[in-house]
Amino acid sequence: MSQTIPLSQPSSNPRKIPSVVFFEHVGELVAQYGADPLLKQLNELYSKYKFMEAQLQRSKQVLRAKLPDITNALEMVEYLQSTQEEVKVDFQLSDCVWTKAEIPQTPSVALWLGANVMLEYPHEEAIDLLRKNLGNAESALESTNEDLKFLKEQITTCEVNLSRVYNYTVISRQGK
Amino acid sequence: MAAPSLDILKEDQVRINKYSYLNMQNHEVQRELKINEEKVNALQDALDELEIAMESEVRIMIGESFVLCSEENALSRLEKLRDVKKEELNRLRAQAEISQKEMNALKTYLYAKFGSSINLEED
Repeated sequence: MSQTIPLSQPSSNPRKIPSVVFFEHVGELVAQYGADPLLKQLNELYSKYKFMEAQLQRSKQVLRAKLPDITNALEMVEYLQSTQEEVKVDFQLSDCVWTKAEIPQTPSVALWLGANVMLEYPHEEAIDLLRKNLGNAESALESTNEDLKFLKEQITTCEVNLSRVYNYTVISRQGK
Repeated sequence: MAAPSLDILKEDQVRINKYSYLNMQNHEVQRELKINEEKVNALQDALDELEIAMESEVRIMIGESFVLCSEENALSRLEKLRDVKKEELNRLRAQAEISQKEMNALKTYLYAKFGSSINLEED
């Protein structure tokens, strides 16, 4: 029955991602646990981190795609609020089809909230809501970036650990 | 034959991690720089075209649609936007330079210490 080698430990990361234990002397570790179980468990840990990294990269893409939508909506509502007369626009009806519209002075705009729900808001409230959403998206992006930075450190340490253990086994085999 | 050093100090691991992180960040910054440069060029072109064309009313892009507005409005909006983007561009360039310097310093140190046991090049 193979024992679990303490290769990771709880960390101060806000999302509770464990951090990799750093070894000063690889030789002691190999002597204590044996090279093969060590390599196997290090590899498992490494693939877990890589998987998490891929997940975070994907959610980062999603967040990055959301940001322009919110900024566009905000830009338009702020413009509508600032004009005193009716606004003439060319807008996209569908791919390759554009049409003209005249937007009269209205006190409110309708915002698409998702899930087939659209709500009408006066300009001020709409701007507040959009700014809040923008803030949320930006801070979510920031914490994803922080996690990615933390993960990168753990992955690098893991890679270095792996290569050190492997090199040690190669050298000790040559020594024999 | 010199055996590669298998015992690595904690601070060296920290340095390697720092280099790895700076490398990743640098890629991001380069990507953003490219997008930003294109945007600044596009805005500058738009401003140049506006000055050449003697239109009283032009359409400018707000959000995803084109809004009809007077030339002065369009001019001032575009100029403001271009200045904002230019500042972002300068900030990004400064950031890229700083991380490049740090990366080079780390590279020198790590290569000096570990020689051929470490590879810090892009593959």
